[in-house]
Amino acid sequence: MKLHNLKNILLGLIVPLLILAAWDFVTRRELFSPQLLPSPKILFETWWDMQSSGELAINMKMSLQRVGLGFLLGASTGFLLGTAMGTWKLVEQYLGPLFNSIRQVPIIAWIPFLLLCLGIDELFKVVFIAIGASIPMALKTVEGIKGVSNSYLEVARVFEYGRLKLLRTIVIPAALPSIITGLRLSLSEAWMLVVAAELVAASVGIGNVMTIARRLIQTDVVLVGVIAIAVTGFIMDKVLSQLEPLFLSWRKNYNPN
Amino acid sequence: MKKTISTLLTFAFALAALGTATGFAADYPKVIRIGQVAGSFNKPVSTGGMGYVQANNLLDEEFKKEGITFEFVYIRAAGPGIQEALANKALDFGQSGDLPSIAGRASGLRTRAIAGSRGGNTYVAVPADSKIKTIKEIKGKKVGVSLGTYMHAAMLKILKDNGLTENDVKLVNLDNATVKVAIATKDVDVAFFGNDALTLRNGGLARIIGSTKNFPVWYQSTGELLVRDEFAKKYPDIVKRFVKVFVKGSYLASQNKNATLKFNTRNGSALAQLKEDSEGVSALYSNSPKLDEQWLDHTKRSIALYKKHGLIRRTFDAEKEWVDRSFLDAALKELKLENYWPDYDVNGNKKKK
Repeated sequence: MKLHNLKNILLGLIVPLLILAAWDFVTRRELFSPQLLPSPKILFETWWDMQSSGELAINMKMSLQRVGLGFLLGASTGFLLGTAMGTWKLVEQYLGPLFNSIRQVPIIAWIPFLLLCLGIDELFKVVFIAIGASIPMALKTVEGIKGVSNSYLEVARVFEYGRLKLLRTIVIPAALPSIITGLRLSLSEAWMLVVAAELVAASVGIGNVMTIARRLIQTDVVLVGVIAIAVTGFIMDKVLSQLEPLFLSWRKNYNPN
Repeated sequence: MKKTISTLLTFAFALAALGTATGFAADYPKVIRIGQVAGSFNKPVSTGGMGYVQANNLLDEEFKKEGITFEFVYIRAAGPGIQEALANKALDFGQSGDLPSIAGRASGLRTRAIAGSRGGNTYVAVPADSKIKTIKEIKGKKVGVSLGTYMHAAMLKILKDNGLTENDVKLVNLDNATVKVAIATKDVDVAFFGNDALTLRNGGLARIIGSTKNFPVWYQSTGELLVRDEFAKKYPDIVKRFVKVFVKGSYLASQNKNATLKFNTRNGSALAQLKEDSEGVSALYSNSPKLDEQWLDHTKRSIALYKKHGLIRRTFDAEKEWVDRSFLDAALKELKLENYWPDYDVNGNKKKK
């Protein structure tokens, strides 16, 4: 089992390392202007500078807060909406078409409207992230609930479960794999959107650091930002995916890998 | 069939060989692109010396024989956008204020400063009904500025003079056109921007609580005409003649202040605004292309200031690693204008010879 994990990690590292080598080669040859593509070495030095001065930590913390709030708000709204639409036919009939048309709108297209209503401060950022995060969550919750096997439901009918008990003991646990996928999608959406929100206006945050760096031709700082976001996002996704076995151990055919 | 192909190939090779032998199209670029900051009216015209060059087709006239097309590219992302475009070779020449040019050079972008400019004012504006009266009061407020431009640099200096730093305000990055709207719609509490602020005030939409005019000349901006180092190495003759044409344009702009101000309204600026902005300053001063003591001292001070504020991470020697006066000196000599523009010191005073 442990050995299996290690193998997975090593396999996952091959492509990034190849890219790193190619990148190093390209920058050594100066095939691109160093202002557009700094070398991995410079990138590492920049990262170290930003890390040791605390600049990276302060800005990542602010962005993480925004992601956290937006994600909590968005994912919980999405979960409630999804559960309601998946369980009650009436709710789906009333809200389904509206939800499906709203989710066609690219989240970025909300920016001008949200700016007008909410200004450029924290509220705008959190609401913007929450809208984006709620959609995959709602979709996946509906999907999970609709996919609950009929045989489970028949058992519940035999035992004459009430609506809430049915939801709590059968529907939600059976829909959990899909719901957890929804959570992961929702979190990665939140990450994407925090950067977009900070590009619009912010004084602290990793997206803001990247905007200023771009304006001052500090491509290395921009790339450190990209990597910091990628790594943090990866770690957060890993943590979430660790939750899966906790909830899903009841399933006989469940295989974490 | 095979024979036809081989005949065609031979013919093509012969043509290519002829082309290389006579050197046509190889010696000169077909198109040369000049980057300009897009003004707040987004009108694709230049002002000042470069404006006269453009309006009188001086470049086309000079390079008629070579058949080079000159394209003026107006960049909304202002000076920083010009540096980016120089870095990816989308531009050959560019004009921008000192912060973007210095940031570009400090990041390793290989440019040469081949002519100078001076005297860009920055104004501090608030919405007309705002309670803010002094610069000290903007602490904690939402401040709009086009980050990375000369106005950003002026903001640093003005804030510092009032015991504040960038971290004491909430900065919002807005382009030149948007910053004006943001003050009018009160989306920001304060904005640092160019002389358009005066027109906004005249229209009753803003109040001005300070400007670089109230500070020593060094608070204003200098700027430079840049050329990509690679381009200058490849086509030194074109750069020399380009600078000559620019000096001609600057000469035309320096002759009569009122006429030049009127000419400069072609980008949509109001005459009253330009008059007030340039009060007490001669056309000779505003349009001097010289890379004199003022330009150099200003640039050196700016480099140190930007380093201190973390806007650049590496410094460089402006005299040794950036400025190239050879083209300008040659042009001034050829046009017999060596003594037309005086040299100024860092306070904007004429230097005694």
